[in-house]
Amino acid sequence: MTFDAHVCPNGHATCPGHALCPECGDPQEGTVDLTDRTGEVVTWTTSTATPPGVREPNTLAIVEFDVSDATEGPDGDDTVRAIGQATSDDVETGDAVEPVYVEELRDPDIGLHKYVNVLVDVRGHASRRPRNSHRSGGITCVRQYERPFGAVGCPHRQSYGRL
Amino acid sequence: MPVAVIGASMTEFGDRDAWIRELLAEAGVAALDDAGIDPDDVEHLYVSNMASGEFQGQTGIMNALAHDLGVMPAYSERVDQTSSSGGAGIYEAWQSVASGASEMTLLVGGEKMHHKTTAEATDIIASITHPDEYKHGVTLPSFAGLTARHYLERFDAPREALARVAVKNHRNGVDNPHAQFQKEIDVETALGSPIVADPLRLYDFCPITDGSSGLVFTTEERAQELTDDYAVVSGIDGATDTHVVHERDDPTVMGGVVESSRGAYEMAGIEPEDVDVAELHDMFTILEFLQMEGCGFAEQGCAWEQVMEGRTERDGEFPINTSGGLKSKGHPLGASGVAQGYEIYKQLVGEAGPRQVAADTGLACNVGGFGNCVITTVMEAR
Repeated sequence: MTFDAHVCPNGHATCPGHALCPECGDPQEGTVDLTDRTGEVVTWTTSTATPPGVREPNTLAIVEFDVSDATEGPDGDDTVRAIGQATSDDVETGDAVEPVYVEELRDPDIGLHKYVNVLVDVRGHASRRPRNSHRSGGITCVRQYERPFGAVGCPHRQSYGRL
Repeated sequence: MPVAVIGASMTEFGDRDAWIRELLAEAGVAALDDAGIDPDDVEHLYVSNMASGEFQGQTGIMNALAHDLGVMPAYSERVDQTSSSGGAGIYEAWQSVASGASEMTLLVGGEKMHHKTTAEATDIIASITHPDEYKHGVTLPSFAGLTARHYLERFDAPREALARVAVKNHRNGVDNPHAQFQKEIDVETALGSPIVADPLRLYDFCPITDGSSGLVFTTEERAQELTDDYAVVSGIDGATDTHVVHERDDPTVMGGVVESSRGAYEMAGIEPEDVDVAELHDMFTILEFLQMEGCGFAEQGCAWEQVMEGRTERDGEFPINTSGGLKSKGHPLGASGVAQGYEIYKQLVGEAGPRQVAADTGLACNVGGFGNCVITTVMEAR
């Protein structure tokens, strides 16, 4: 049960990963587990025109995680961004959020890309901080995980992809 | 070898009964007619189209069009670069003539979409996204919502400025007989329309459209033999940005727009201020700001000021989207980049009718995905 950023030897991090680091071209050999980290909402939207098999409305957020402790090298990234669905429509830029495991994000039988059960994702919504508070300020995570990570097995991680 | 454009066509855009083959043929015949050439003259045929297989179950449409126009045995090829297929077709057509491989090239872009529901069409377009985006139900409109919120919050821009893009482009579309919407709207209507991807509303988005558009390219030498009025492709470049949209360093910078426009300016030997008229890919209102800034027409975070001041209106200092843009003209995916070329060509040869502005140099910026692939073309009057 993973929700990883992928890191190259030069400390460049992306989520999702790529065959080669988009920044420097080296293989992304390392990973940083984001499941226990708290992120900050960079921007968000509530989409009301959603494709078949997707909830409506669908609140999406781009979330930035601090990974400076896990990236090496003078050129290493301090942060990595991910996109996720919010568990609540009550979200604001600057909010602290945490990943929450969800068994299924969209109906796997509908839609052009086919997936087997999808995995851990950013669907947590934690306590709100003032909009302009400093990034390193205290973050209070009040929301409990809906299920502990790993509680629901997902043996098909490698099997999703395009039809 | 300098490449000239000697003819252009555009079908009626909107909800059409015609299917993809018929739409392409309609624009193809009209483009040949506008250029005054015969099917036998065509040496290369390019067909810009994103998803005829997905929308209609018809593949191999370059061959279908070649047969329907009788341009055999001309070389034919389908060009897919999602929403920038049309611009990519211009790039291919330009290369075919510039390289000497073809003396006469016909480009036709088209898409048939309207028979699908909005949800189905949205999903076909959303299939361009990375699986880690797609699984969350990400759509192109939702990227626009995410980006617009960031832009407005970061640059303290008024929400009304986005509505003014829609109002301007709808006003321009009134004078475009091919446009899907030929109807003015006001700011209040735009700001009061239903939310699609907060903070963006219905009038911030282009419609789902059927349509086709064509351009004819040849050498400048041949153009001089055939006509007194033609334009040259003086600069063109294409560039690619990340597939995963949230991985971009700055959500308000479209790297493909910056890179391709710089390449096109360099080739043409001009600066952004030399451009007299521009067609930008306003699939969403926020994209007009991002392209104005990426193409160097405005500083980052400042494009909205020019729109609020009316500078980009048709009678303003620097008209943008005189055609009505994708917003009112409609956005048949593969046709849109070609139709941008149609508008710039018509402006440069003085055939834009009530939309005519004074222009010797025009620019078209065609965006695929959410800035994933971009083609910028500069044309100049001769």
